[in-house]
Amino acid sequence: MSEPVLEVQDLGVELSARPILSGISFGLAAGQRLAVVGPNGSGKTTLIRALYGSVPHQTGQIRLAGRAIEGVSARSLAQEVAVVRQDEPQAFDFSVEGMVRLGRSPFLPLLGGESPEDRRVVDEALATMELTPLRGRSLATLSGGERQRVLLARALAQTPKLLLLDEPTNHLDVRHQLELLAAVERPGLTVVAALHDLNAASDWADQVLLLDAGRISALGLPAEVLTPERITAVFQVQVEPLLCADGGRALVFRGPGRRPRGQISAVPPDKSR
Amino acid sequence: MFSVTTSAGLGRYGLVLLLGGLAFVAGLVISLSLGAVSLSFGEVWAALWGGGDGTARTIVLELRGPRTLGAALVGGALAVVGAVLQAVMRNPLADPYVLGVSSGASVGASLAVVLGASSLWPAATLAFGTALLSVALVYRIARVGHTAPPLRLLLAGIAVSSFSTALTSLLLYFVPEATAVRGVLFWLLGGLSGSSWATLLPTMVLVIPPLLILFGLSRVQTVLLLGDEAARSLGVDVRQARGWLIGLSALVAGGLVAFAGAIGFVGLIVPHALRPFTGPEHGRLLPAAFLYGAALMLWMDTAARMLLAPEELPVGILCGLLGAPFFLLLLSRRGVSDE
Repeated sequence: MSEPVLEVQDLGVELSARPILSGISFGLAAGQRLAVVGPNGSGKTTLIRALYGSVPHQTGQIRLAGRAIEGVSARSLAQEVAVVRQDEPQAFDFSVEGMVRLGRSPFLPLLGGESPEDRRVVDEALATMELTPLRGRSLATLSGGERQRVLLARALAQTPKLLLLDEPTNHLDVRHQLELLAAVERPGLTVVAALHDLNAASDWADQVLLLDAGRISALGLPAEVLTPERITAVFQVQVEPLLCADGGRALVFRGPGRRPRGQISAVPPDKSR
Repeated sequence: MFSVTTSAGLGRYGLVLLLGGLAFVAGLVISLSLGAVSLSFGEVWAALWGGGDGTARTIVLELRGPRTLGAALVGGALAVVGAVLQAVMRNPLADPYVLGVSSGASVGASLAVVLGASSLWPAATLAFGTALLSVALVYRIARVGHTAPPLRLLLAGIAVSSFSTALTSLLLYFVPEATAVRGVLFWLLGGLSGSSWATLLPTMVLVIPPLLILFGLSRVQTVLLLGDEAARSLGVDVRQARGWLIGLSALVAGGLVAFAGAIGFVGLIVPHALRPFTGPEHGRLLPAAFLYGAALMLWMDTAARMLLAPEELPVGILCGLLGAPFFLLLLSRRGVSDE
């Protein structure tokens, strides 16, 4: 029986003596994808940051491949966990290849250079994200979608067991959002992604964790968790599920308008995001 | 940004190093031969090998030799420390002078003179202490959460810098003796005219080891350029790395200030001008920065000797005159925002 890649037990995080997360427990097997959803301020980003040791947790335990991450050095953690966040503002102008090569830095000896294996991994990550033709380009000349692909390629160059995504699709248009999420569907790669788009979360994830004010409101299969009733309770919006022609399901959201006006029933589809 | 593409191939980087090397060697030659007494290249060459005229030998070996090596070390090390501090602060406008490290070090060095120290050691030790204190203070004041935004950092640097300069001036006020006044003024202005083997050798002992460690830690510096969260996710213990890099930088800056006073802007200009050609990776940037910083300082110091000959201009004044406009240019080009 394969051991879970990630086990979180009764996790509690406080920042400046304010409880941000409490009682968070879940487990993920190799290759599983978890979407973390919830309103702004519900603790999504803090949960992601706790998983790579960027914020300390006060209670509970995080185990990675059976090993507790407390006391593990940043370097050895980075050999197993990679992170893609929202577009990183760059004060210094890297080339595409230069940025992706930094993904190997957790593996390089303090004074040594890259091995042929390191270079092979970087080439592969560039190729996977279709960045090979852009490898010499400066990041400043790329579009938001291309830059996000570069950050994902850097994360893949870390050859992680666990990939964390913190609202990675925020600045992307619909197509690039879908492409990015599709790109991390890789055999054996366990992914935890904080997402705003409930439809994307529902399509992409094996499991959905709904956070509300730092606690788990629901955890399970997308269709079980993202029910209209629960979304209405947590996000305070009205939800109308639509059945798609291909048998899929999409959710349409409406603001908490207590005095519905004529146009409300004709909300354009792009308002649903 | 100066250039759009940064395809820093090895060929291009090799060219950057080659040009820097040529400027450096030319700087060595002019620094050894030009001055109150000008010597021909042949005379310098003969003197270096212990031959030729006795006076020329004294000038080259005892006067200009340590000054030339000192200028190269000061310029090169300032450029390297500037690049390191820019990475640590994640701010392309950082350097030991702008951040108040140099003026902080001046306070310690001046204090040592006022207390009657006659060798470089106590001055350098005190300079290191006050340099560290200044940079910690600047960072504390400027910090918002986990980062220090450019504008806040500059303002904090200005505040701490003026405070340190005022302190140094105050020391000057309390010390009437002409020699001590000269000593304290020297640290305020920055210059290489007092260089001798007796001050250069301890400076080398103090400055070169931490400088080599900074070269060794270049990859960590590159990762820090990405910001704290990204650096953490790439395996860097940010607090620890930042502490080490700031401490080593203050050690280098303290030694340099004790030797040559507070010389500004070299640490800012050189890494900035080089990045478009080397790329931001410190493994490439630091060697080039050392070479170009050393070359620049050799040329500047020779110019400072020649401009008002037979009087000498402290090179710190010349650096300030040329560096400050460059700094303003950078400010306006980047449109520094308090993001």
